[in-house]
Amino acid sequence: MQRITLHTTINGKEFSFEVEPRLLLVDLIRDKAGLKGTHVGCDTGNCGACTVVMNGVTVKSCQVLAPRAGGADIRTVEGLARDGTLHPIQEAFWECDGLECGFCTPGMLMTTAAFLEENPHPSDQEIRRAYSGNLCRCTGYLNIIKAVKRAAETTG
Amino acid sequence: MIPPPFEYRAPESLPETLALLREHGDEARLMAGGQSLLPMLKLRLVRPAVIVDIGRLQELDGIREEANTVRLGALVTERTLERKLEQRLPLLSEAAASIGDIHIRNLGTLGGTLCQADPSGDLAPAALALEATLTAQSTDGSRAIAAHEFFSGPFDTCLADDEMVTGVEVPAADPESVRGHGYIKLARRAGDYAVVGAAALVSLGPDGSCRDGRVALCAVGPTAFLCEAAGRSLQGTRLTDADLAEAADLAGNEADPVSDVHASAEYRRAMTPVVVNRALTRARERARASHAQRP
Amino acid sequence: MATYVGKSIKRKESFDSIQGKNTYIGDVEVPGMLHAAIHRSPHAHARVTRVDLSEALAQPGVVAAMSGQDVRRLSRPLAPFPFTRTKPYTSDYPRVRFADHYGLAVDRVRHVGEAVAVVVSEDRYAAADAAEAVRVEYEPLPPVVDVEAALERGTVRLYEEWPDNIQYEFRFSEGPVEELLEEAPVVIRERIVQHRYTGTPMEPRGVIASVDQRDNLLTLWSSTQVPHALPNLVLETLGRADLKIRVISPTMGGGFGIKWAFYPEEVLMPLLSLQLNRPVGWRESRSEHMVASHHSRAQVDHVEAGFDRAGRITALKTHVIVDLGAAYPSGGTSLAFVTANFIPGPYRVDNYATTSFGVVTNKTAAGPHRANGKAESNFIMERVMDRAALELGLGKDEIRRRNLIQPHEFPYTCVTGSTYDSGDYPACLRKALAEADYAGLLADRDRCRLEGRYRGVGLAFLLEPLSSLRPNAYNAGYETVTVRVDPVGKAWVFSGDVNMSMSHMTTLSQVVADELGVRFEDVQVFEGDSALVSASSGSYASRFSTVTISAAIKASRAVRTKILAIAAHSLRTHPEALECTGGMILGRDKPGVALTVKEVANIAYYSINQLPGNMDPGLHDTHYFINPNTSFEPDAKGRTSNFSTFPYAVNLAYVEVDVATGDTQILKYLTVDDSGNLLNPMIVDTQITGAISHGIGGAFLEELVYDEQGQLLSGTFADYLIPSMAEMPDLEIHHMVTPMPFTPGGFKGVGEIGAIGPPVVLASAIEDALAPLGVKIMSLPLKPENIWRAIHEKRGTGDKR
Repeated sequence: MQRITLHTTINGKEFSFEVEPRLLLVDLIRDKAGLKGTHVGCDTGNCGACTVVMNGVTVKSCQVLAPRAGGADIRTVEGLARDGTLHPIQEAFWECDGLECGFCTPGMLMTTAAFLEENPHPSDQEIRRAYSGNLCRCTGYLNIIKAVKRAAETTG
Repeated sequence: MIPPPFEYRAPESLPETLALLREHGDEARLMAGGQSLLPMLKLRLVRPAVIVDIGRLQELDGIREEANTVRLGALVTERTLERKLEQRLPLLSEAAASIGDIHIRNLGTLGGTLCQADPSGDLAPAALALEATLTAQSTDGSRAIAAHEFFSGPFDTCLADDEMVTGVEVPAADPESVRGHGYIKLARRAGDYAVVGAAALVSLGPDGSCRDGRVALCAVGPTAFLCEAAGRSLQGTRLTDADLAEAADLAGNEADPVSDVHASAEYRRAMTPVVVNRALTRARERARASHAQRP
Repeated sequence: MATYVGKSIKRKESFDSIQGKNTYIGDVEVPGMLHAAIHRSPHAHARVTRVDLSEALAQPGVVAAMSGQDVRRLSRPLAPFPFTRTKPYTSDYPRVRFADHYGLAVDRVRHVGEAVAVVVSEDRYAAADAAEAVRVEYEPLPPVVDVEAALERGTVRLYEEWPDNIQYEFRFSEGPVEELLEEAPVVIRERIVQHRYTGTPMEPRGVIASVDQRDNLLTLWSSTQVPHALPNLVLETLGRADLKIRVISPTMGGGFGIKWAFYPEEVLMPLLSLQLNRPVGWRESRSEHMVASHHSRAQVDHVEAGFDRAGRITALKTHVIVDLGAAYPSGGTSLAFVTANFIPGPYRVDNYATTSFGVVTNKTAAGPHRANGKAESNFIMERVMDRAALELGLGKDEIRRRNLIQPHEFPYTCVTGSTYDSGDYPACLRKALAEADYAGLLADRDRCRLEGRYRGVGLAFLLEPLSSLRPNAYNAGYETVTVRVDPVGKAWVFSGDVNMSMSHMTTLSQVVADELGVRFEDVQVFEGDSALVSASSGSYASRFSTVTISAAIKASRAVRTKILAIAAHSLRTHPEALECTGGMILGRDKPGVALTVKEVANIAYYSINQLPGNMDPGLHDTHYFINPNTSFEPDAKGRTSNFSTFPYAVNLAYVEVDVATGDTQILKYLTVDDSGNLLNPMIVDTQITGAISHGIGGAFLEELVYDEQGQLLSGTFADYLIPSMAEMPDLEIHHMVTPMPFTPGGFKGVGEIGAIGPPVVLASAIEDALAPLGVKIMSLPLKPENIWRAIHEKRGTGDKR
């Protein structure tokens, strides 16, 4: 069986792995790097629970082969809080009740991290369009819209 | 769901890639952004022996804007098309913006999605309406393929097993006229595959009459296609509502859809003129707005 | 004194969730765990003639594989759930039939996705490859796909030992229904079709089993809503009376009823773990979930409703045919029971007859999904009311007003025997109409009509029976909570419930902090583990705020009484002279802290010589709170009362329909909910919003489509469309508060009613918008193609704009 050696940076930390080439990035993150905050909710790239930031843009880590992580810079939900201090995006989701079961939340948070860098003052309509790839089954989304706007105020 | 095992190759250069394609032929599958390939692998709908990951071929990434043409690398992402071509190729930008979601567009590529040849894919109608030309290469050399000759069936193209698309050229608009565009997609949800998708382009001459009209469709046939009769019917008209309706009907006549879980063939057929009409209306309004701003 | 209850306190649960620190079933790591993968049937109906595991066993890393024959040799059929093989379920009325399904299909498969073989490997990826390498020979049988066809005489039977395909039958009749229908000046007769959809929590299921041989202890981790039912079910199925079993339901990524069942994997993993003496785990993929986790909602209903000239219902007759899929122990039969019992809804109906069938078909088993059977009953009745309004020339508001149960009639025993606890239905309707400016919307609609635009107002009065129970079943109707103040003065709460997504940790902390008089931060809540309390009915039917919270209140009060008794003894005063707040015991009359709860705890646990005479050490209480307002014993008419409380809501929607495409845009969606007292208004509103998004999905997007061969066409999230943020309209949420009179806190439950509204109120609104075309909406979903088809049938090709 072919094995690939790859070096990657996750949340600022360097890792080296030897993997089967078919390994999915999400399983690399969860099982090899042990970061279980990134979740798997579907097989087809529709739900966005596995969203992480790779080289500055959001990707669905269940739709990426692990070898693609070679040389990449990856950020996951575990990298948001620094030194025990919650990121303003995390605070905003908590404050606005933008989550319930929490399964989609890491993907929502990472989407927000990348989205607000690109669009620091989004309208409701822009938010609705930008988050169409992140499904949530609990909240009905309206509090997530509030949270993204709150985060925009506090980070902007 | 887990992909089946395969051999993985990540060539560093185009010649190396082409050599791999020659070596493995139809056993190999190119992976650009992987956003269509990964779900198919995980559902085990495809089982390539070799995956050739072309993600490292930086020479295939990039946009070159020239006077008469825009040259797009095959690896330009859909997100880049959406964000960087709003001015120069707004139809392509609008169509790209309607693909999937941001995360998919961040990785999905122009070349990848065209070669996927999904009959419901959003970029093909735009490429057809814009008369794009694809560049295909193999170890034997390179050839240009007009967009309307590229698609040969559902998920099938005219590429040989050892050929790959390296770039797409889109001719610039006629400087003598103003152009308006519209891509309208009827879909179940934001970002879903089209139930019917229509790309429309209209050019107005100095007198405000239509110099050129183009309509291309997806999701209503085995491939995306250009509705030549519809486009022709608009030439020389003032683009009245009746003119657009006639073109929409002509386009509707060419629809040959199939049923799937998202929509029946009957509904798709009925929706085709509706969607074409709306795309043409949007294109006309934009063209008229630009025309009004002309000195 | 409420310091915390009724306040919008931020959720404790969120702290871990926003950092990705929750441990869901897929994150549980048991050392040495093997990975199981399941080979599933591609056929809807077939005989299994041969299962060849040799190729799978030869794969690298594979340590075991099992077929249905192996499972039959090693275990018994899956134990029934939620009913047991006892009376009344073994009697003729209401009739329930049980089917013998094993953890794997033995010689026949009855739906696409039914588990046929299981393989176990050291590696999860290798297990998937091996499951694919299982070779199965099938002899296809004709599939029974259509639920009405399943009832036809001479049709193929799913279970040959049954005389027909009817698994569940319920009949009820009160009053001279036939005569009244004959006499009624207006009779509405409709056939209503409700489609199959489901809850699809973002987290699919998962099961891990591990056996500790020293203690003969089987530990089962499962994403289940019923951790206390599983020990019985699993041991009965394994036939292993010698084992102890502990079931842990880790943090759950949503349940919505879908995890309220006894699933085959919950016996397969224990079986494998016992055989291999290693922990074995299985994680459901989404594609598996769509065929292996239960579906819901599908039914065909026939309704006849008689009205007098004044618009009052004189008689109601219904025939409910629920499409159950295969007869796995998923609780699907309750859909037929609930629907049939509650079609009369919030209206005074004195004469009612119903026949309700739960019918098996070759599809995935049906079971509860958020607003189980109630989404369906409300849809039926509200469609009838709209049609009657049209027929009688009354407004939608007026016909409802004339039939609503009046506030002075509570508690109101409805025709099928349940007692509606409390409410003011007319006031709720008034409030909704006023908040929405109903008259203004109608005027705007009429204006738009003149411009050729199709706008419509929908109105729905929704009633939801909650907190249900069944005698002799795994939902016997009570909840268990233990409250303990530990030696350092902190409160510990152990509940039999499961924390799916409903903020139990936060709301239990609020209630217990208030009742004990300690700080919110000093309350620690534990849930989702059968070792915590002795028994529980699990999380379903929005029962938490009715019974769990009540049990917590009662247990807390008992502990507080003891705290104050100890404090009073120590301070040489009377308990009545003291109060406890924020962890401090104060004199009611004298300022200043007299004692802390920590000091009292110290006495209770260590300085027990200072306890009042005869008092036991410790500060704890376990309370079993029995569902109030219910009765197991049939009354003179043979009726039982199976639900404790009946929250209600009025939903109002204003929509515009694009008649060229059939697409509906929601311009306004308003709800007025009466869920009793509000524990935490922020959480209540998030629950309502989330539930409404489920309903919107069900109304427009979500559809489990089967072809004629019984193949599921919407088997991934690419085809089964749940709403994204882009499809979610803004909402207006208003409240009315009529406290629940039969519980200490007055809470009713709020998790589900939102999910009922959208299909009902949007059908009403779309029908109103299309009234100029005479379009009638009697089926779901309301997806554009269906609406377009309804328009098309009325007016030809439509315009092309």
